Amino acid sequence: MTQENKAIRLERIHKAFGEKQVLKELSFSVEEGEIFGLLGPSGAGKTTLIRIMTGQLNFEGRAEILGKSSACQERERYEEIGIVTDSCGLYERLSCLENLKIFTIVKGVSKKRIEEVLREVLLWEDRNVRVNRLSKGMRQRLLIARAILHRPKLLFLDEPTSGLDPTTAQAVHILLEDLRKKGMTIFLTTHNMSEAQRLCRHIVLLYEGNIVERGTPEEICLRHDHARRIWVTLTEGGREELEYSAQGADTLCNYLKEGKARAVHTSEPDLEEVFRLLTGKELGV
Amino acid sequence: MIRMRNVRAVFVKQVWDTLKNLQVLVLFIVYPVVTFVMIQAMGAQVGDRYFFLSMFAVMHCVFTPMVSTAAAVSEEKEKNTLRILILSGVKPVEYLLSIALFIWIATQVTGFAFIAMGNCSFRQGAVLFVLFTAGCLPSTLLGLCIGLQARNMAGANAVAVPVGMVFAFLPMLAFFNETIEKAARFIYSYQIGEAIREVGAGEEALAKGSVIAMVYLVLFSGLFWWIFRRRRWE
Repeated sequence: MTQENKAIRLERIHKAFGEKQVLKELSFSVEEGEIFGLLGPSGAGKTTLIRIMTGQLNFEGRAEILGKSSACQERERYEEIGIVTDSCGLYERLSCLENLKIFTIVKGVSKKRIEEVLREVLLWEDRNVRVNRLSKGMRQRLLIARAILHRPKLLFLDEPTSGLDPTTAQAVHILLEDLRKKGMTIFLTTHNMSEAQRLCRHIVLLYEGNIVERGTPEEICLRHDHARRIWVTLTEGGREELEYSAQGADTLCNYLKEGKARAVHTSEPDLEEVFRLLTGKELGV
Repeated sequence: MIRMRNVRAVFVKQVWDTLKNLQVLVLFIVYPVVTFVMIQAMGAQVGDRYFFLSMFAVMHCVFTPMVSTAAAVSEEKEKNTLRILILSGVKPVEYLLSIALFIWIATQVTGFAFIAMGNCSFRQGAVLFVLFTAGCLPSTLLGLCIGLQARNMAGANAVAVPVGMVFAFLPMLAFFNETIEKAARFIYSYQIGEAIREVGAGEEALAKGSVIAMVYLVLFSGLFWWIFRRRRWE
């Protein structure tokens, strides 16, 4: 992979608040046009890392965002990135439309773009509703609308579906997938494993400021499949355990050919289990 | 370099937000309304409409800018909207300039009611306009200091309201108490109140009030710079 197609490149990022070390020598990179997930429990350092990458915090190490140092505070830098975090508020007394109008002036984009993004996040019908009357899911979608108003190359999302009901979370997932298809690089933090598994091409598992695992979700799960077993639930009842071997494969084929297999399961853990294996802790905590 | 579109964006936001924020909106109209009521109710008994006018005009151009500026800045900090403005490329100077510009314009626009109630000539109106500016600018700067220093809106109001009251009510208290009057001579709001009263008496009073206000402007600028360097937006 060449250096040119890296949207984010972090080298030996270290951050401490007083005595407490929050991030310890983190290094990884994010390719352009992918959805990248930073996973970890609360307090792992996810938000701190986003704040470092968006130039809000000083740090030790080297962080390059779209080819420029994250310490660079030039206006042009903010024109290439969009940010959605809990700490980025909305003007509560203003409507969705008014909130976005302010940022069309700041970003120098056409007012026509407001309709496009509000339709994209399914808020056009509610454009005149005051923000303090919106549900949490609608607010989250409005935050995303504001962040993509200027068509940034890179979007930072901090826990985008935290506290949302499954239907709203799914709507956000579809929206993010659409943005990725349009070529946007998305960096998201989450402690929701299924979200990461569904959306992200690459992930990094963060625990107490350290990277404990990295790769594609499938790679990670397979890497931790130490049992290497296949379980076949039979139509006539009962369950058979098979090994990953030529003999196991033959038996499985026979069950399938003869229509005796009702369900087939493999022993690879999901990301939640991988995290528990690596840290002894639950991820959502 | 200041980008005017950012100044315009924050200014527009402030206009919309203030029009929907009854608490702040009331601050801008309460003193002109009270003055009108007092002049109608007691103007004939007192004989001098500038008595009420100078008293409440000082409150309008000193108390209102201080409290509304502190509220605006501290609310943006508390609700994290200031952070997203900064992360969108709005420079601190652009933000502060927009807020100060809005507060000054809102104070002057609503302050026209005093000029109308004073039956002022064009020249008198212009002098009052300058005096309102002289009261508004240091108060806005002090409001910015309080807003920056405070951790949240409640904290800002807890400081801005009593401080604003000291500056705004001192001219009225000085009228009734000689000791307070001696101390109040060093306060810009008192000098502006005196200057407004002198305008009513047909005297040229611009210089003294404005000079003292400029001294406070410099003092509060220093305070603002010290606080801004120490706290930034956190």
